[in-house]
Amino acid sequence: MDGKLKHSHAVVTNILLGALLVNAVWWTAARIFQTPALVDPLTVYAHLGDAWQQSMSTHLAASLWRVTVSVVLAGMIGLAVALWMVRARYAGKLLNAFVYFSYPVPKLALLPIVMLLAGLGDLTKIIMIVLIIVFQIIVNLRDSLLQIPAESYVMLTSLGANRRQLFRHVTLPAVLPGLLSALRVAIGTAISVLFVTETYGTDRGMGYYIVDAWMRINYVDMYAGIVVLSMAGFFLFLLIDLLEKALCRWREA
Amino acid sequence: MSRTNIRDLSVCYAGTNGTTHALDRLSFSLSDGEIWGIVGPSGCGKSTLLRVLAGVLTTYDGEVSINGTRPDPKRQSIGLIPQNYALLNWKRVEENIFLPFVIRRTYPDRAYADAVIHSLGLDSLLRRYPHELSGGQQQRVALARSFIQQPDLLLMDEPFSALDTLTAERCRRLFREVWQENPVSTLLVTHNIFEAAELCSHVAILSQSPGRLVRVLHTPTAEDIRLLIETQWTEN
Repeated sequence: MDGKLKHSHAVVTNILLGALLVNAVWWTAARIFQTPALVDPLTVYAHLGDAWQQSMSTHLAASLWRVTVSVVLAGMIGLAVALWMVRARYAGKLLNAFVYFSYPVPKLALLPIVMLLAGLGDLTKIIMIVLIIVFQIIVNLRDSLLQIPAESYVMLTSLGANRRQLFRHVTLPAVLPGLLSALRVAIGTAISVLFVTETYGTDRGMGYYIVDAWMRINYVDMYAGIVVLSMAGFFLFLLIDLLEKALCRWREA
Repeated sequence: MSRTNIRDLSVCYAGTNGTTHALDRLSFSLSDGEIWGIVGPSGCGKSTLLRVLAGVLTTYDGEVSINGTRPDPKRQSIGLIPQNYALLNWKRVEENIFLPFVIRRTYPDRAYADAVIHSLGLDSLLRRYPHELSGGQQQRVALARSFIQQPDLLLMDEPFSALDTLTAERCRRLFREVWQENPVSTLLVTHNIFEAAELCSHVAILSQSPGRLVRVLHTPTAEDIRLLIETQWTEN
């Protein structure tokens, strides 16, 4: 218990220290450059309450919904495809070749095509995020699956385990740390892609909010949007950490 | 009376380099309360034999039966200890030990299970995870997992080979003690002729790949096994 308390204390200290440093750099830069384009953090924080009450909460809810649906979908698709790659001999080879070739393709460049095919609604934004993060999830999970010792399956099969039990007792827990690590990295990417996709064909979402404020030359609003979007990303990141602690307890031991 | 029969067992499987002939017309019988050692060169099909008996490998020629029926993990209780023990890192020691009952959705004989756990000195390790244990402790957990299910047949694939000499000796002693309390039919695959001589009532010597039965030695000494394998393996 003492160890756990110490660990929590270290995590909180780390977060506070990081936040303090980022704000110190920001505040110093604002002081040095003295330009309307670099707003003082204290001014931005003082404005957050008003911005939230005006319309920001609606924009944030739209963005969080899009990013959550995309990440969950990408995780599920990633797990299914990685399992298929590892288990099906011929289909696996084909998928491997497909993933290997398409992994480096700059998927953001596909945005116009996806918009033409899927329209301007939420579907386009979700497809874009899934397209961009699913490949790193697939590669990460495939590697995790390949590392599971065959003896684990042999031993459980010798106990009479069926396919569902093999998945429940071996495959899922074995890939869970890899899946959560991949999701942690994917969330950062997903927020960036979300920002880009929300600048087109929508009037809801943090991307729209930030660009709209920028166009209106309302820099305080713009910075407030950037701060809130960053904090949303950070809390999603923390959520993955908490999930990892709850679901992968053996790694803490 | 538990009896394991293997008659004309041949196993071939397709690999990346074509078809591999792992075992060739292997025949022997194992009676209740016997420990048989299987000694043979690398790649002679020893692990394949264990997989057939464990009911994991079901494509083969010949006849294999445990108590008169084909090996079937859903109907029989088969204890398998692979070379690396196959403990699940995400389960605590206690969960690993009782895993057979979770899979079969049955309940253990708690008094018997506690006695086995106590005999193997695992009482204080039950809440730990496998990566927190030494090699010898992991080995004892694998033994406990197999013994508490009171198996019809116990299969061990070089279970002491990854341990240092002293730890292996201690684990063999513990195995003997627990086995004497619960004398289950056991098949022990080993490269160690001293281990085979120490633990086994019968030792089956296999030829190089594909594995054929060269001879069965009854209560052999290590020297008997050494002489036989030297003659056989150098001839081939």
